[in-house]
Amino acid sequence: MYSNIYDNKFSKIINFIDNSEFDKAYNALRNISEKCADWYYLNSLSAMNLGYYEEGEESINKAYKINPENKNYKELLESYNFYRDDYRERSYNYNRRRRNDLGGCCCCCCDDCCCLADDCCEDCMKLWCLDSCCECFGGDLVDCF
Amino acid sequence: MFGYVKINKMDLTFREYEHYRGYYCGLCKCLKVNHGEISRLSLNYDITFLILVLTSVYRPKSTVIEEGCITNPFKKKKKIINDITEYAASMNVLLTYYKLEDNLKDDNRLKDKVAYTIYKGRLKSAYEKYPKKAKFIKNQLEILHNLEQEKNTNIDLVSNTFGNLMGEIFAYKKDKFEKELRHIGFNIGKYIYLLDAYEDLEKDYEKNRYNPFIDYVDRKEELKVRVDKLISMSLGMIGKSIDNLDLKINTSIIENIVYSGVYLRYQNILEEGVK
Repeated sequence: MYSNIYDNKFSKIINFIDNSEFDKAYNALRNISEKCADWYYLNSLSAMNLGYYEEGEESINKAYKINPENKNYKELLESYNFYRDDYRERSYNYNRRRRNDLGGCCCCCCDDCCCLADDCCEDCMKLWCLDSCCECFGGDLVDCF
Repeated sequence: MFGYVKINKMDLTFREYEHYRGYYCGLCKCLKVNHGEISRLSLNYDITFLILVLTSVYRPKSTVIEEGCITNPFKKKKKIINDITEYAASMNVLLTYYKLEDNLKDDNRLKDKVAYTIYKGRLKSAYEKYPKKAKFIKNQLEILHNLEQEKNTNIDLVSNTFGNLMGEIFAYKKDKFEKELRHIGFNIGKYIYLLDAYEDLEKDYEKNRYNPFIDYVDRKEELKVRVDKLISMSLGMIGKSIDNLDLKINTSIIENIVYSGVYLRYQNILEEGVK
């Protein structure tokens, strides 16, 4: 993770981070006034692990902007984006059916029948949907199908 | 402030819903038995989530009782109680007590005064069982109070106090699960605080009360984007930690809460904020 950082002044901070002592790393970084790309990178790591998400993201964006070729920076930036994107994708997929406006029908069994609605009698289809829904929950709206 | 960590009932099976409700009703009963009738008023879904996660991790032996309850004495409901329910009930009491204490410092409302006095008597058993947790919660709320007094707008700094507090609550024991559980609790706390602050912005502005987003009262769209970013990061962290715990039971209920109940609730509140 730190293969590119040769600067000695950061070795103490890297030790703190390796030992998960993020508050010590964060405080030590306050004492370094010269803020290079590596400083922002280490600051991002410390801040994120302390729950300072805005500062953490801002720092890695700065590091990446200064040196877009650095693989470590890119990896870290992508890992943060992944938390957010993965959550958004999973929740979007989970709730997808709720978004689908199936003409009032909102249960899963309607996914199958509605593609036929264009060809068949729409009222018949709706009745079939309602009956299927009813049967899903243990009842029986129309007992001939 | 509580009630942001809910299920999406429509997407649970009947069996899953009954099981979830079993934990909720178990908590209610436990509060009544151990901490008095009044403590049931503060019953909350967020603590039910705590029970759900901890039970799924530690798999304690549970007792299932079927009996009527105060909302419907004639209909028998399943109540699930285990060691974790008892722990969660104590945490519920501690949180409510210290929150009331905080309310009194801010608003000094009569109803809070009454509740506080009643609660003070109830606090004793929870405090005696978990003094370290109690002190931690009190301490974090004090830090939060001070940050609010000085009108601090560093949202991460402020929300982290509530995060730390919930993290301590979720960290049930010092063991291999502590790190992930604390992480989940931390992000739950952050999420709750953020959403509450966002939802209360207008009200707080009108009543001249503290709100970390006070500078954004005229920039609602900008605030919505900012809060959405922060919340989805916190929730993503929770998702990752839940995955890491590799739970074997209640996974679909937990998935329902994290990716549906919570998601729909917060999306709704974000939209309301810009209307």
